[in-house]
Amino acid sequence: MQTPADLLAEANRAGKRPVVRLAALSMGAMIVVGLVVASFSGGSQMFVVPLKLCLGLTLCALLCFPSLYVFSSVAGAGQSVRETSLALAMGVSLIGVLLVALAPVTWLFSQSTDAPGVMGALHVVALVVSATVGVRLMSKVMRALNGRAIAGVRAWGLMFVVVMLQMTTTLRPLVGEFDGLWHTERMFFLEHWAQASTPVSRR
Amino acid sequence: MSRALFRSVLSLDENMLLRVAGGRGLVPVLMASAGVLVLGCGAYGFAMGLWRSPLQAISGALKLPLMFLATAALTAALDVVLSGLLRARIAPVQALTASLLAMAILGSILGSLAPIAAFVSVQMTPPDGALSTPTSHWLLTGHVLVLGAAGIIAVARLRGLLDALIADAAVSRRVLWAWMLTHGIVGAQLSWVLRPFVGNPTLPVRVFRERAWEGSFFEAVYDMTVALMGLGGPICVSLVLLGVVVVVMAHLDPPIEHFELRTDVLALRRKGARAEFLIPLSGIRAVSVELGRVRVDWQQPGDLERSSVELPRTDRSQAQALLEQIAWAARSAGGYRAPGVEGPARSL
Repeated sequence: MQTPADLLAEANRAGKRPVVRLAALSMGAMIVVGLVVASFSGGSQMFVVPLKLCLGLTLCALLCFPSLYVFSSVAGAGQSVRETSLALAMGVSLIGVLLVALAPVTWLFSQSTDAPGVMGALHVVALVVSATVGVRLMSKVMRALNGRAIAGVRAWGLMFVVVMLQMTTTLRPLVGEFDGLWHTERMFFLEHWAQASTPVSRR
Repeated sequence: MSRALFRSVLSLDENMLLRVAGGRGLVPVLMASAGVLVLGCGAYGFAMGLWRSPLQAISGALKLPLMFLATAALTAALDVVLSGLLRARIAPVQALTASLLAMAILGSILGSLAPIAAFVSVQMTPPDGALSTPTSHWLLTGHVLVLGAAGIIAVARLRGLLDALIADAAVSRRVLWAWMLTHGIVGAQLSWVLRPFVGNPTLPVRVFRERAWEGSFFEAVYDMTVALMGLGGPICVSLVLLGVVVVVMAHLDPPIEHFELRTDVLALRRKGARAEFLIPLSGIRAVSVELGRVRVDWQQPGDLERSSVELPRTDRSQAQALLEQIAWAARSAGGYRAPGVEGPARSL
């Protein structure tokens, strides 16, 4: 957070693997956040949600990595695959750290509601705020690597956030009660939100 | 813990500023701050509940310090992350100490006012069902005002402490407002959860409300403003808050009031700042003239992003001369030639 340029310098030194350390940091953060999210429903969710979040974040990073490399290359960036992965790992780990920092606040507000919809909305706000800051860091890393701003990174960031939001729907239930490891019914995240915010009697 | 340490915590003297800035030996400071917070808020919480009943007073003595300690605990991680993201360059333990020191000052002010608050509580008409509801409202309003005033003083002291820790006043102000926002939101919700503090005379005395976790402080404010002013109430509150945000935003980046080019640094003083901050000439990346102002882009070691400051100059030729002067000094100090800087900026 304070000296990201030092991480870039470290990546160029032989034997150093900052991507591995950053990935481990992200996974640790997701376990903590998963426990906080699962505390709303408790039970089996306490084991399942942290694992689902780790899986979800990894899948998001893997799904979006090729497009980050291609988008930035098309925009004229010249960084290597390794440097691109470092930029992505830095952004993703910052998202994790921010979510951990926001977790006590979301937990506090989660105690005043029984509605999974409200709780879900609170977590989504935290996720979008963290993802925005994370994408901003990726954009700065790309800029530092190339000596100029790379046009496609912000647009890619929007796509990354949408993929993350879709992942929260794909891996459902995250906030609600455990009713199977995941739902097989396919659904777009906006459709899921609309359904979650509609009272059961009106469905 | 010595008496001198407690005194130093309360007065936030030069020794304490140096100690926090040094970042060493802060655990005793954290302990002393927590101690002052518990004692001061405990005394005031006791005075708050004294009007309703002794049980309410005892519960207030426990709940008020708990509220502040819980606020500090729940926002600790966010304080550290925010200070990092806002480029404050302070260690996590320094951020936590600054936050807790401000709360200790708040606690000491509340503790000093506790005897007066207790005196007022025992002098007011005793609780007598619905008849004494207005009294409880007046008492609550008075306590909220005292808490607000103590909070403002604590924030003013925190500002001084952050100015001592963070070189650039613009960064220290951003950190201050970010912390105030998070502490305010979390503290408000905790005050709702831990209610009652004064006690409702129409309800039996209770340490916590039966449905303490139900609803939130913000829903209660919304309902109250709707009850008082109809739907215009929340709109008025929103407009006031928007006004506050606009005023804060306008003061987040105070302009440079004075600057001086020294041997290897550019010394700057922002309007309202207590100290000047220094930009190493070797860190300057570009200089340009925009609307009669000289814009200096610089980069801290380890940072990916440039920061910029604008030096006031009304005369265009004067600005151009200053640009040349800074550019020459920065080149001499080893400012590197940045690739691809767009616009009229002079890359070094």
